[in-house]
Parts: sequence; C-alpha cells; structure tokens
Amino acid sequence: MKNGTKFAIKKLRNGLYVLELTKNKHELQRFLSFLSNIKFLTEFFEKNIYDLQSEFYNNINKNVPITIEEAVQITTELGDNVTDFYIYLLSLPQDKFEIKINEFFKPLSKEQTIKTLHLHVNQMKKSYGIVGFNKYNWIRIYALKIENTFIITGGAIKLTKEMNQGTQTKIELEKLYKISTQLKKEFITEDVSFEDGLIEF
Amino acid sequence: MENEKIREIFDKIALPVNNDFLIELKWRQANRVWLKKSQAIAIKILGTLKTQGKSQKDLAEKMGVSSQMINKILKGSQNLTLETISKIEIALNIQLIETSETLKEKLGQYEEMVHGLSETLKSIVNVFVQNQGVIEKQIKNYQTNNASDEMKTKTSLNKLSNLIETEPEYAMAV
Repeated sequence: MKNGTKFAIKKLRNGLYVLELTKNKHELQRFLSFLSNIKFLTEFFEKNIYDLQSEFYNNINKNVPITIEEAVQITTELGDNVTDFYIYLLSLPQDKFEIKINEFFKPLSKEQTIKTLHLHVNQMKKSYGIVGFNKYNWIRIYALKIENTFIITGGAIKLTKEMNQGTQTKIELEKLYKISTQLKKEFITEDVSFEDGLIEF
Repeated sequence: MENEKIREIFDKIALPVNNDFLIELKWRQANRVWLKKSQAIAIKILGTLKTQGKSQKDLAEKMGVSSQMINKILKGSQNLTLETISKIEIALNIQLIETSETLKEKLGQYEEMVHGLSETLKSIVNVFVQNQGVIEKQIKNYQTNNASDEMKTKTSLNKLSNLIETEPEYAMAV
C-alpha cells in the first residue's frame, strides 16, 4: 500500500468499521474470500513452504512437517471459524458488542505473550490428548482502535514469529501504520488514543 | 476527544451499513456442507495435477472446457454437476465420488486379489504336503550332520587344550 493511497471506510455496525481498498470488496471480505479459495491458498503455502514447515509451528507438535494439502484444509476450517465469529459479532446487541469487542481486541505488542499462552494451553491439551486445529491457529484479523471505535484493516496468515518476517503480515503491518497516519493527518486531528492490534476469534 | 465524536467522524466519512456482508457470511455458513465437498475436490485436483505433471490448461483441453472454468473449479466454491465431476475423473483418471457401482467394482477387485493370494498359499501348502517325506529326510540329515560337526569340533578343542597343558611350546607352534 503506497503512501496517500485512496481508501474508503465501510460501517459494519455502530462502533465497527472496515477498510476498503478494492471497490465493492472491503478488506475483511477480501480476506475471507482468500481463506476459502483453494487455488490461492495452495499457491500461498507453496510460496511460504519454508515458514510453514519451520520450527515456529512444527515444534508445537513434534510430528512430521505439515503438508500443503493439510495446511490448506486447516485454513479453510479456520476460515469457517472466522465466518461464524463475525456472524456472532455482527448479530450481538449493541451493549454486549461493546464489551465483547474489547475482550477480543489484543494490542499487537502483547501478541507475543498471547502466543506463549496459546502454546502453553496447547501443550496442556496435548497431554490430555485433546489436540485440534487450534494449534495451527495462524489466522489474524488486524484492526485499529481509536478510543472505543474499531476499524478492521485486513487479515493475514501468520506463519512467522514476527509480523515483519511474513509475506502477508508485513503488508498488514505497513497498512496499519499508513492508515493510522492518514487518519490522524486528515480526519482525527485532536489528540486521541490510537492502538493497533488484532481481533482474536 | 470522546468516543461518540470519533464515531460521528467515521459515520460522516464511512459508507453506510448495508447487510450485504452479513448476508454473504450467512450464505457461506448455510452452504458449508457442499462448499466443503467442492473444496475437497479442488484440493484433490491440484494434488493430482502436480503428481501427474499436468497444467490447468492441459486439464481444460482434456475436459473440453475453458481455462476460466478450471479456475472456478480450483477455487473450491463451484457447485459442480455430476457431468463436470465425471469429466474431471476421466481426464485425470481418478475417482472423486464413490457410488455403489464403483464400490462394487472395487470390492470385485479386492475379492479377485484375495482369491489369487489364497490360490498361491494353497499351492505352497501342496508342495509341502507332496514332498513331506523328502523334506523330513532332509531335515533329519541336516540335524545329524550338524550333530556330527559339533562332536568333531568338541573333540578337536579337547585335543588342543590337552596339548596346551602337556606341551605348551608345541601347541603354540600348531
């Protein structure tokens, strides 16, 4: 995304907005289409096979490295979870939505802590023999939080430890930065709290 | 700056709410069962193309459809007809859906395989039965030879140990 790129904001519900860079398809829609597109997912995992089979995910479960077909299948399942989550989020009464969205939003700087916690929980699950798709939860939905208003900027498959190491996450990180800069410059000139983070489903 | 003011700004610059997105999400949820099957087919086709070293263009030509059609199928969101599924199966020589007929065919193949194996086993047993006498004799011979070899070795070792005791220098030379 170039500096000064024209963008639109779409209202999903009171307090929740989404970025639109492509006409008639906002960033959440675009990401969900990607998560259900087998051809695109296969190409993505083929291109990022090194990250997919690296220690980052495979040391959770010390089995044979995950295959592209498995990764594609897991991702479509995760995509279904995202779909269900947003149906839930958009259908909540306003008061409950205000509480829930704050519970689901996690500042980016804390992501590493969250990841560690995930690992811990998954290890526990594993020792009790309950291992599901959760251990491969590599989907992230990124958003900006301005006071108590949320703007979803996009989503990514996160296969690396740091956001600036992954192909999709790097783009999303830049997008978060550029959109917040542009919003501050053009629309919200007063001093407000800007936070970037992810909405966990 | 209050939150309400922020929302006022966004409401001014944002395109208004419409339910299209929620409708789209609900459509995905409601059609999940067949979408999953379409996705599984797309995964199988992509894997087969890779294994067989074929391109999407090859598949389109073999099926007699456009490349755009193959693209749609490979997305995994196409509500495929039986005709299209059959065309893919023929073009790639794979089975995408099992019917009682294909299962019967497979069962027939397995039965043939089991029959072949049992026939081979029978003939091996027959060889043993027919040659039982000869085989028993050979086993006995082997055991006798083995016992006699063992005895010879023991005797030689005893002789050698006696020699070491009585005449160690000669034993070293031997």
